[in-house]
Amino acid sequence: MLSALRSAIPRVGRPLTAALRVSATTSVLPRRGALAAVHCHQKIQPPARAFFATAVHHTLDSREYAQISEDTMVSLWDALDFYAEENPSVEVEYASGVLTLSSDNGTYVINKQPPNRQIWLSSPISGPFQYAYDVGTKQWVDIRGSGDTLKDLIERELGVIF
Amino acid sequence: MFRTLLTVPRAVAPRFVAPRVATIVPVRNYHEKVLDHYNNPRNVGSMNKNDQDVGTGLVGAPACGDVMKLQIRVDEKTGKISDVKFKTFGCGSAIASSSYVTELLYGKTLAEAAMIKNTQIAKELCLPPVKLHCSMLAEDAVKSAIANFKGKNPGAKMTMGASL
Repeated sequence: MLSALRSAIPRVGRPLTAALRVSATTSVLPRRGALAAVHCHQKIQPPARAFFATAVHHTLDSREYAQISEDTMVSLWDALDFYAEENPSVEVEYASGVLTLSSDNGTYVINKQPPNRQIWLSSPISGPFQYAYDVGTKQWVDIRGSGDTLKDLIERELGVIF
Repeated sequence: MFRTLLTVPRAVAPRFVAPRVATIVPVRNYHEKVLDHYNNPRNVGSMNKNDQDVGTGLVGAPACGDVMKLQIRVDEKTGKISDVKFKTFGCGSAIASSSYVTELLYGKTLAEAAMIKNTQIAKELCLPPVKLHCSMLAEDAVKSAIANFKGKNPGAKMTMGASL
């Protein structure tokens, strides 16, 4: 029974549309270590689109996402590394898809989010952001409709152009 | 006989203890407020989503590892939130964020509830940079629940209420 339920849990990496279809009809079990008290035993309805935190529409297939996101992360890493060399209090690290910049002003974390083909950023100044790739402008654009891009934020807050 | 009893534990014990100590070293340092909400979550549960006075918000994606369901019951007479329930599937910070936000919601009008910001949650729980996204998800859940309630009750006023 349990194994049957477990096999129904969408695995990371599966296309999100498929994951949603599955989640609409099956229970969601907490992963190991999650709190027993918050088991979601009842069926989960497809969420309201307007406030669904992760956009459902994909403009990239997973191979394109892998390549474009890695290109973006590496060029951002290069630029931030250069910035860190000029500023001794700044440290930059890129490991397993997570780019971290720490300075006296706080820590930026920029990471790939392959399941929904986004890049996420956490800023000590302006908070958390999620970016999806816009094929037309070739930019990572804020999914909350501010029109802001990843490039804009990095330039505005760190003065770094990449 | 006596000698073997003495020597066996000595030979075994260090070999047994050493790897255990080694695995305990990389401890995740969640803030104590996160651990408190994680170990003792407030207002876990659910309400009947078909009730007219219940708004249900469901945000996140199973594929990403975090799903949050948040429900509010709004008192028809006062226009204030009289009951809140949540269920969250995700990391400790996501669970703590949603647990804390249920505490914030009690007694608030919809207009007040809509003003809850992720920064308030992150600050209270002392979330580290990489976990700020969890507080944003909790804010999304509140907005989603309010939107659901207003969809069911188009006549509901977004009054600021007496408490403002």
